[in-house]
Amino acid sequence: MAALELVAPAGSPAMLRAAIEAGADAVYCGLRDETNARNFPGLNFSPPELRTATDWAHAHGAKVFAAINTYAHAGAVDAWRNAVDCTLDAGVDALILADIGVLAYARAAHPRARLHLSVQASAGTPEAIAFYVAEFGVKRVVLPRVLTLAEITALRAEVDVEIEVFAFGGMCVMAEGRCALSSYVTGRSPNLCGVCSPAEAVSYIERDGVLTARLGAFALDRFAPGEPAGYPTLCKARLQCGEESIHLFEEPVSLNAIDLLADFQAIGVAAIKLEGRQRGTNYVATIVRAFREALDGGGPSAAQRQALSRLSEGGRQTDGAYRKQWR
Amino acid sequence: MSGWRGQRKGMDGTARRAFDAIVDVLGTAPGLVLTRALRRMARRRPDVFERLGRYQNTLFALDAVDVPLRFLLWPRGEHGAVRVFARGAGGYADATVSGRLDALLAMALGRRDADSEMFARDLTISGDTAALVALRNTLDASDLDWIDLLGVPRPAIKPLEGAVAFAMQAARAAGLH
Repeated sequence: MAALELVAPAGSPAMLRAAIEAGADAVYCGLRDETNARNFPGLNFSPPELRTATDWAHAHGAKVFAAINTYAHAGAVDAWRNAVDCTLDAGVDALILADIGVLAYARAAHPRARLHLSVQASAGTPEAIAFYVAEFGVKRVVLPRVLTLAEITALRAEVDVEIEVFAFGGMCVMAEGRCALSSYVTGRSPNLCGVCSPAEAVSYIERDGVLTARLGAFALDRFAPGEPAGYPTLCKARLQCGEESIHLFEEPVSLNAIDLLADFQAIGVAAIKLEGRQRGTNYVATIVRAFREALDGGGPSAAQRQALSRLSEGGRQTDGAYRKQWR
Repeated sequence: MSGWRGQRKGMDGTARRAFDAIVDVLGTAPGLVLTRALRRMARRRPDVFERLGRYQNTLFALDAVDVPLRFLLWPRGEHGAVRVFARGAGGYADATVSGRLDALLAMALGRRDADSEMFARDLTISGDTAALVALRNTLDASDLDWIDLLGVPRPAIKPLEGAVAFAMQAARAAGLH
C-alpha cells in the first residue's frame, strides 16, 4: 500500500519550518489577504516570504500547496487571479482552489499547474468530482468532513483522482463553503473574506467572575467563575433553549482520526490533512510529530494520543463522520 | 504618558517595595531603557512590524492584578514605546491582558501558550480582540515573545523572575492577592 502523504498547516514561515522539521511531507498556506480561508490578522505569507519559504521547503524535501480557497467577489476578481499568479511564481507545488471561476482562470493561464480541489468546494459525490476533473484537470480532491469510511471507499472506486482527507483539527459541520452564519452576525463571511467569527467582532466581558463571550451583538457563551473559556465561534455557541443551555449546532471538539490511518491506507487515500493554520508553531510541531510517528511506526501510541488530546478543542475528540452511525 | 515616580509615591510601603524590586531589575527610568531596546529590535527585525501592520498603532497593556504594576506597549517599530506604571495609571489602552504577575510573565516569556492561559482563565483579555490576535500571531510567526517587544534583554530575565517572585510574596503578605 502506498504511504499516506502528511499535509500540515502553515500559518506563517515559522510554522512552515516547524511542520517540515517535525516530519510533514507537504504544507499548505495562504497569502495575507482574503483569498484564503484563514485570513486572520498577523497570519499568512507575503509573496516574498512565500518564495523564500517554498525554496526552504524544497531544499528539505517537502512540498508547498497554496490555499486560494475562498470565493472571488463578482466584479473584483483581481485579488484571486493575482494570488494564483504570484503563488505559482513563488514556486509552490499545487494550488488548493474552490471557486469555479478561479479554477478556470488557473487552468487557462497556467495549464501545467497542479490543481487540488478544496474542501470548500464541498464535492463529495463521484459526479461532482468528475466534473472538476474533466473541466479543470484537478489532480486531488479534499473531501468534505461528512463522509463515512464506507462512503469514501465507494467514492474511491468511482473516481480517478487523488483523495485527501482531514485527520485532525477543528470541525466544520456546515456545508463547507456555504455557511452564512458569520455573515449574518458580523457581515464578514468565511467564504468571501476568509474569516469566520472574526476577532474584530469578539469581546469578552467579565462581571463578578462570570465571563461572557460575545460576537457582535450576540452573547455566544457564558462561563462560570473558574470555568474554562473558549473563542466565540458562532456554530459552537452555547445557547439558551428553553430551560437548557446547550451547544445547538456543534460542540467544541477536535477531529482525531489517528486510529484510522490503516483504514485510510486500505481505501487508497493519498494524503491526510491536519487543520490549524491559526494555531501556532508549537501546535503544528506537536501534531505533525504525533502523526509522523504513527505513520512510520505502524500505528499510534499512547504518547501520541495524549499529545493530541492536550491540543484538542474543548479537550475533547471525535472520529467525526468516519464511523458515523446516525444519518 | 506620565512617569512612574509620581504614582509610586501613592503606594504603601509593601507595595512600593514590591514595585521597586521589579523596577530595579529593569534599571532607572525603566520605560526609557525598554523603549530603546524595542526600537533597536525594530531596526533588526522590520519584518515583525510589517507583519503587525495597522495594529502597530494599538496601545497594549499588561495589567497585573496582584502586584501594582502595569506595562504599556506601543509597538510602532522604530517609533515604538514601552512604559512601566503603577496599576491604574497610564491612561486608556486599546487592548489589555490582565492576570497575576507570574501568569503574565510566563506568557511574556512564551513559557505558557497565551490562548491556553486565557481559556483556562489565568489571564483575561479586554478591548481590541483583533489587535491581540494580530500580536499573538505576529509573535508566533516571528519566533518572538512579548518579552522581546517589551524590550527586556534576555540576560535580565532570570533576575526579573526573581524580582517577580519577591514582588508576589510581598503582595501576598500585604493582602494584595
